Amino acid sequence: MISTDIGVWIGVILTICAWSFLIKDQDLYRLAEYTFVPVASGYTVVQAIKIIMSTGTTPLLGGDISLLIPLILGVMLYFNYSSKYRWVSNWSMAILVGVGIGVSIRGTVKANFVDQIVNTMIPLAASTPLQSFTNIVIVVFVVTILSYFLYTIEPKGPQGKIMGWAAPIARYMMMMGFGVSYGNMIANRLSILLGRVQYILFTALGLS
Amino acid sequence: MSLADRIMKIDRRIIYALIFIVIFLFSLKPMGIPVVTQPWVIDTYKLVESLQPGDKVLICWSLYPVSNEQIAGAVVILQHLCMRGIKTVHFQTQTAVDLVDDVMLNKVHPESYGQVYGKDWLWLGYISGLEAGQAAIAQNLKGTVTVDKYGNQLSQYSLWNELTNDARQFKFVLSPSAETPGTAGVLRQFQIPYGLKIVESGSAFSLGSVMPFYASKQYWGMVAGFPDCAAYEKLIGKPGIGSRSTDPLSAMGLLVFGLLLVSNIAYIISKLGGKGGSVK
Repeated sequence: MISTDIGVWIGVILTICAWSFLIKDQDLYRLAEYTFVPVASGYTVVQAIKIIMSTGTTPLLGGDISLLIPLILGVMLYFNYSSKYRWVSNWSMAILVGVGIGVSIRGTVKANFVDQIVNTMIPLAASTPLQSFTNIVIVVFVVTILSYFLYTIEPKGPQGKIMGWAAPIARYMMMMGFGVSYGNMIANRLSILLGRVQYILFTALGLS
Repeated sequence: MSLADRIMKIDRRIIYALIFIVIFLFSLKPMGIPVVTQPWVIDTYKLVESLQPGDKVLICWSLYPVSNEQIAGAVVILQHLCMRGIKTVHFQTQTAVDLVDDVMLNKVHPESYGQVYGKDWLWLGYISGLEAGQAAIAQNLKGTVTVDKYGNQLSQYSLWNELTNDARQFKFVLSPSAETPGTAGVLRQFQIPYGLKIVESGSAFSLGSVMPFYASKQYWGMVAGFPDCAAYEKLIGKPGIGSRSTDPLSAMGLLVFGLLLVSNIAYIISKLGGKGGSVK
């Protein structure tokens, strides 16, 4: 059944306007672009105000005066617009950056380094031939690609021979990896297009 | 001008038109192209199957509405969780909160599985601060939020009163992820400190970058892209958006592959042929 929701049809029209760019850069495309940017910004601002009200001002008016500290720090950020008092905003910025780094760094070492390294230490002779082959491939590729980025060892002498042998393997493996990423990226973009087509066919036109 | 040269100089709008024709045709008339059920999909399915009714799962959304694949994966896993009587608590690290309303109310339909808002699922809304927000939920859930997305006091809901400040109360964290901090943040804030299992609902695009984390079992399972989604739908016997989207996506992939092949052959012929110099 065809949708009677005006919002759905606005979505369809804006989608077609955006697609008009495929023919050429034209006003229809600009209409979609200039509609999207302010709507998205406005939506984000409204959500930010709502979260400040629900987690900041409302509990503060309810008596939780500890919330004054983050609210004042938030207001201090606006001093960034004053050349004379910009230093005031630096305090808030320092806390923001410090907390952000502190929160993410605590798990990064284990998640991205230790656990990944530990899980590369795998048996080359595994329970099945296929698993053994997979493990060998993982170990060889990790070692060769890492050696490719060893800039502190000069490529001469015995170590130079090893690195000279490892470098082409590493290069081909990285090219394979980039190829997979690129292929996946195309698939991802096609899926976004598919989403819009399905929106028109199924949500707006009610086809199934 | 030779055929090879003509192919090399084809108007790109013809290619766009071809893609549109294929996508429309295969969306309307799916052919039922078979999909492979990947081990990470089976791991996700088995994890959900291993849960008991009443167990709790945390859903950390890091998405905007454009992320079709991630949404489709989240829908099918959430449907499975609802079927199993699992309770879910949702929060979003991005401002696109209405997206989760749309997913839950118009796609998952928890009420059709007998689930009631406040008793079986809760929607905490947007939690600001990106990864710091994730960390706050992990460390101090009850102190971080007091009202749900709709502005209602959480204390009135029975599910909220069952919850504690211990992140380990959740059996796993489902992360529909396309934006920062996404599943990487979930890994750092939930898996590393609390040992929680993580399942990612991602895109086919992200598969290459998250595979090392799955191989090391830092991610317990994944549903990555429409083909995985279709495979999961098959496992739970509920065909949906994944099954409907896999055919057009596969057809478009074949079309792009065919175009790449033709254009490369044309390029080589054009280089080797008499007019080789015309193509740089």
